[in-house]
Amino acid sequence: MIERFAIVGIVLASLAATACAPDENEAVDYISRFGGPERRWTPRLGLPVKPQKRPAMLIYEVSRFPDAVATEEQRMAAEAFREASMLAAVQNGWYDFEVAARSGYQLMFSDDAHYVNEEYVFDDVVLDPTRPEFLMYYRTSRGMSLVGFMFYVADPSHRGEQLGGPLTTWHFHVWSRPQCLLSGLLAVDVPNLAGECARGEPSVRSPEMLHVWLVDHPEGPFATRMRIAPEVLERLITARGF
Amino acid sequence: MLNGCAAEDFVTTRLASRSATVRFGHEAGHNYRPRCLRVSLGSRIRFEGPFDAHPLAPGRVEAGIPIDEDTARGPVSEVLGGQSAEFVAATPGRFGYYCDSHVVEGMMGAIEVVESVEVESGEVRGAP
Repeated sequence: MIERFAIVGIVLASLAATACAPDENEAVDYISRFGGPERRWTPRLGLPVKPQKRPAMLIYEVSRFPDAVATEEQRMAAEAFREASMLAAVQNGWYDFEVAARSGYQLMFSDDAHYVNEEYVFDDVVLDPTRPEFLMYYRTSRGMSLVGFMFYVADPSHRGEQLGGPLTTWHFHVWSRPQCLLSGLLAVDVPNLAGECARGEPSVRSPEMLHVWLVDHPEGPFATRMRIAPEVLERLITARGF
Repeated sequence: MLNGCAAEDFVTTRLASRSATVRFGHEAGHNYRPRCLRVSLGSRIRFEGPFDAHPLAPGRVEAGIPIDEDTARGPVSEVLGGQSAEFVAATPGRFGYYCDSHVVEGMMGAIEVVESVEVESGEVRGAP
C-alpha cells in the first residue's frame, strides 16, 4: 500500500509542477452560493458588497471551470492528490486523534470539527498533503475519526489552485457579523461591542478553502458540505475499517 | 414539508415523560437528532450541543435560506452560546428551527406540537 502511495506521490509532484501556471491567479472565476437546489455560477463580480443579514454564515463555491467536465488529466490529478492526502494521514499518524493533537492540531475557534495547525496556516505553503492547515474529525462510535483535510490559500486575496479542475471546487464563507482573523486568514475571536478585536482584524469574509475527504463522502472527495448524516458516517467509517 | 420534515418524518416522544431532547454537534455532527420531533402540548424540549459552533435560530428555511417571518409562537428561540437550552411547547403547530451558521448545509429541523401524542414505545422511534 505504501509503495502505491509513493508512486502516486511522484505522479502528483509532476502534475503539480505543470499545474502551477504563472497566470493561475489571473483567470476569470465564478461563484455559486452554496445550499440551493443546484449550482448557479455567476462571475465573481456578482458577489454582494455587503454581507447578508441572515443567516450568520453563507458559503460561496468558487471555480474557474463552471459547469465543465473534468479532463482525464484533471481527474488523475485529483485522485493522486487525495491518495497523497491519505498517505500523509497514515505516515503522520493523524488517524490517531491524540497524535494529531501532539503534532499541533487544536480545535478551531467556534467550531467542533476543524482542528487547525497555526504554523501551517501561516507558512505560505499551499496544497501540501504533508502540511494540511486543518484536519477534520467527527465523533463516531470509534471515537474521534479523521474524516478529511482542509486546505487554505496562503493569503486572503489568493484564489485556490484547482489541481483537479472542476472536481476541486474551493469555497469561502461570508459572515453576517465580523469575526477576528489573524492575517485575514484564521478566525480566533469575535469583535467586542466597539467592533474591536483583541487579536486579529475584523472581517466578514474567510479565505478560500478546499476539503479533501478521507471517507467516501456522498457528494464526492472534495465536497464542500460538512454535514453527513450520522448513520451514513457510521457506515462510511465501518466500511473504511478504522 | 417544513425544514426537511414531511408529516411522516416526525418522531414521537413518550407522552408520560413530557420531555424530549434534541442533540446536535459532537456525535450528531452537523445534524439535529431527531431532526423532526413531535411532542405533546406542555412538553419540555431540551437542546444539547455546542451553541457557539451551532447557534440556534427559530424559523422556516427554503432553498437553504431562512425566511423572514414571525417566529414568536414557536417553542424555540435564539441561543448563541452554552451547551444546553430548554424550551416549553406552549402552542400547537409545526415550527422550524435551524443552525444559523450551517443552515446552508441543511442543518435544520422542526418540532410538531400536538394536543396529545399517541405513544407506541417508551423511546423516540424512527429517529431519522
